[in-house]
Amino acid sequence: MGAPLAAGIGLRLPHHQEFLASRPEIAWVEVHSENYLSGPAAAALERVRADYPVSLHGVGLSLGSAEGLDAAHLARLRALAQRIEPALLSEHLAWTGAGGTHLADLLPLPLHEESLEVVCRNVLRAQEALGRPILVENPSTYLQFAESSIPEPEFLTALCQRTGCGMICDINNIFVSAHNHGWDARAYLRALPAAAVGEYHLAGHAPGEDEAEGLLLDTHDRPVAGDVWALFQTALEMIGPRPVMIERDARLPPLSALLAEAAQAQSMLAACGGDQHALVA
Amino acid sequence: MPSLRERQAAFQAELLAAAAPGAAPGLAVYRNNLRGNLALVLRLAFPATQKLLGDAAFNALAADFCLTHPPRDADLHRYGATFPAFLADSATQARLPALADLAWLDWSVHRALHAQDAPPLDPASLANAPETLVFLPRPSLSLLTLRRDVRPLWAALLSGDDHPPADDNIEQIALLHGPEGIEMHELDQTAFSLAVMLASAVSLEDAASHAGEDAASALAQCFTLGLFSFWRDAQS
Repeated sequence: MGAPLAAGIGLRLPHHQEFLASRPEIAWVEVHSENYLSGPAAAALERVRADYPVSLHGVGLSLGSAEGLDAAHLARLRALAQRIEPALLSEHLAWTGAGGTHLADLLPLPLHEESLEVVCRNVLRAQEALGRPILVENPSTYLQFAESSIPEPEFLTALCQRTGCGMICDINNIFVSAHNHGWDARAYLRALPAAAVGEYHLAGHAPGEDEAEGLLLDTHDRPVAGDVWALFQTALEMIGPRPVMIERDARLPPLSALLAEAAQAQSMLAACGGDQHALVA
Repeated sequence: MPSLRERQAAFQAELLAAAAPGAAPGLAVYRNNLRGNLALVLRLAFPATQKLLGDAAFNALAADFCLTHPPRDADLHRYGATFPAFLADSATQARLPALADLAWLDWSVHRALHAQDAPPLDPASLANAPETLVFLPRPSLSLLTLRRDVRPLWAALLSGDDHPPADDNIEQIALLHGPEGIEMHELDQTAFSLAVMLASAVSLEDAASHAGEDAASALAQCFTLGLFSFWRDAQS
């Protein structure tokens, strides 16, 4: 089962009550897996799942960890996936800590043959445990490593080819990283494995301040920027229509504001051949 | 070229170390993310503690804590178990004597809210139980000894009311998630000691023997409050 070829929103805990009460007309929702591993939140997610396709988007599996995956965490994700039967399962091209520490952030990887082998090994293990292919999201990054030898789109292409995984094409992350590293965002899109792209993400970003001045930060705390909408249009033309999700994690606006952004994404998707019947009211 | 394992260990050490002058701007972003993300996790788990301390003092203590006690689990709902003890050892405790007790109460409530709870034990299931039985506590249960009764202070901080000073009386409390939400029950000394022993998998036979002549009424109090969910035979 996949997500509808339509726009969805990231559903966050403060919106749960309103979402369940109002049952908005939206094709699907995505949640962060780690917020639903136990307790009443998981039960609330089951109520959402009764009426909507749900995508589980993990932030803690650490696919880039040289030490391998945390078996206990993988088992919890497997249990959640069995409970929710998600439309999509996804994670990030990142690592989150070393030596048993978890730093609660998506940390950057040097991109070379060794790290590619590590990520492939971890993705294969995750897919075996979860019983299905996953999507791996391109990251937003704020530094590059001198030892990196493989451009990020090529790294993702090789990862998809070697493991059978798909990828999330996060348009905002491409925009942010392209700004921070002087990449050509259109060339990046052109180099991605189009057939493996299973989902788009759209989110807001902000300029860095103080020590981070000159960088763009992937803050998820504001509406999608105009330049990112434009890059999304380019992606639709180069890669084609895919399920698309509006991500917001900080300074959450009213639910209606997220639905309005999803409607904009839906219009662009529909104009490009997406599901005409999934238009947001 | 360093191996990926070496590179990741070194990068993590840089993030957890004091900021070095002239570090790359990108590294500062990851350092700030680490502190900001974990301070937010702690703020959500310790809401009354945060209100007592205020934003600046809480964030400073949270930053110190997250660098010296970073999470060991990707499930961040589990992060913060040792924050009350960290606060108890901090210099701020002398200025705010209720601080650590308030943090213990916050943490116990947070734990209970996120526990995958089980229903209370049906005493009828004990009819054919062996003498060597041990009880399993409700997953949401915390047995707390507060050096001061901070419950009125905790409630006032969360509701935004004017708050009273914490009472100097020591309180022994069973805190768990009941059908109507969080429940806090005062236990007398015998019932609290019995509950602690039983929750630690001491057999009923040994715990009752330790409790003496008040064991039956103490056990009845534990059952009435629904502190346990299952029993098992310690010898099986």
